[in-house]
Amino acid sequence: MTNVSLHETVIILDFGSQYTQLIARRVREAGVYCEILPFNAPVEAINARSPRGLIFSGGPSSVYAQDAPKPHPQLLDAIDCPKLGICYGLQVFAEELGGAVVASPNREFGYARLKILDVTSRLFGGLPEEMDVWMSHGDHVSEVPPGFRVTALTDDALNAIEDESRGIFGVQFHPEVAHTPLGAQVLRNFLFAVCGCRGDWSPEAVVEEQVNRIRTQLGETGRVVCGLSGGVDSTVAAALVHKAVGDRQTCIFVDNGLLREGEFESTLSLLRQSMKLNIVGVQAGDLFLEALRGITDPEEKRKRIRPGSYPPG
Amino acid sequence: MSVRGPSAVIKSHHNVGGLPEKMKLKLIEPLRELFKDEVRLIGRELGVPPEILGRHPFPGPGLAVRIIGEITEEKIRLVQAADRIFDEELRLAELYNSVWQAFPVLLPVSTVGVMGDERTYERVVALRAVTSVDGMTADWARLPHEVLARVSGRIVSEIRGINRVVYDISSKPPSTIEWE
Repeated sequence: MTNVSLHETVIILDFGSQYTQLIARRVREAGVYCEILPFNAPVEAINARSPRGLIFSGGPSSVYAQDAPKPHPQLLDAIDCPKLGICYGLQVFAEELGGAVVASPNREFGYARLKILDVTSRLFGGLPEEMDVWMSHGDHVSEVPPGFRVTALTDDALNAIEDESRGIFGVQFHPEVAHTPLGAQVLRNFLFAVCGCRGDWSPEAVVEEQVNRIRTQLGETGRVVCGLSGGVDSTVAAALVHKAVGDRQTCIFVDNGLLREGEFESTLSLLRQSMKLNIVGVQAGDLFLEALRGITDPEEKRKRIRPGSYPPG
Repeated sequence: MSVRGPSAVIKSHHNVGGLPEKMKLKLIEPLRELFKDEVRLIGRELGVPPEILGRHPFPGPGLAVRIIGEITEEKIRLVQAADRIFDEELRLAELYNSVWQAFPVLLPVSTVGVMGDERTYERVVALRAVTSVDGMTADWARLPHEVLARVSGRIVSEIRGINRVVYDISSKPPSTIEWE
């Protein structure tokens, strides 16, 4: 099955930030599909997804350190879409494009006041000239790379740079965290004003895309076995497959004797009645209890319940 | 979705860990690119009943990790009964949706109690309720004392074999949500 999404896709390269997942959430909340790839993802893997934009995450390293995570050397040129660097990501741009990054005398964590120098910057459209931002860094850009200009400051120090002609933008603050109240707008500006996304990521669109994918994968006659637990994930997965191929899916719901009281019966009837799922219920409590007899070690318990470990050997 | 960048492996809902490496089946993973709350939105779009979509997460090994020590049918019945009471009272107090997870843990400890004129020596149940956005970090839920009192009172009076209820006031980290 191909991974390539039909939606506008933005790629986030993960340089190890604790906030990488948050960047992805903010992008999806803006209605744009995104995927997180490791910082050293090959150019072909990124281009295969036809990204509309590329975001470089923050990270705990220093770009001048010997073992610092660096993108593929030709990446910036080889991928033809706008790029946004956040914190470490900004420093990667500076380092790779002929600027310089040094350790700051004081590491900076917490709130700072951002002063936007250029209100015509597409990244800062619709934002006030001053706003609170969240900082978390120990290095800073000491030399702006050729072709870039400084678009925002905190405490008279460089905080945002851009090269509009190449579509490369970098910010030292973290727009993805809730502590930067207007940060979501900065990310939306990048997605919509800079990358030209329309925002086509919606539940309806996802359902349609997945249903088509499943039908393609299964062809005219393929059949599906679905392991159902009654939880959110497996039930929604079953509902998607059901919409795609109906009763060519058989769901198997196992009572392992360790479910909540009445759960097996009530979930079976609820899913059969309200969703018309084709479900086989299997009562196997005795088998599991037998395998767990005398076991007290938590890891051993988990091992014996894990799917694939049955029948217990 | 599991991403191996330099940050630790990020684990989310997607779990195919138990599948054999060699099998004749092919995998369909229609939710692999989605976050948990997006899965709920998709579910709503598909008409999955709200009582399923609003469910608290439940561990794969089920009640086995909520019974500390050896698992027996009798202990399963005890923890199931305590779970039903806790669940009912949270829904009654309209608190079910404001906690991420809430459940009892049956401890391998017996303590002395007194019921009527009788001295008892029975099991302890720990109640665990946490708030969380994604399950990665969690704080113990500040449930109203009256609700805790009702749950405790009902557990001890309705379930023979339990004479003491305690409330877990640890956060994740350093603790975990489940006890095992």
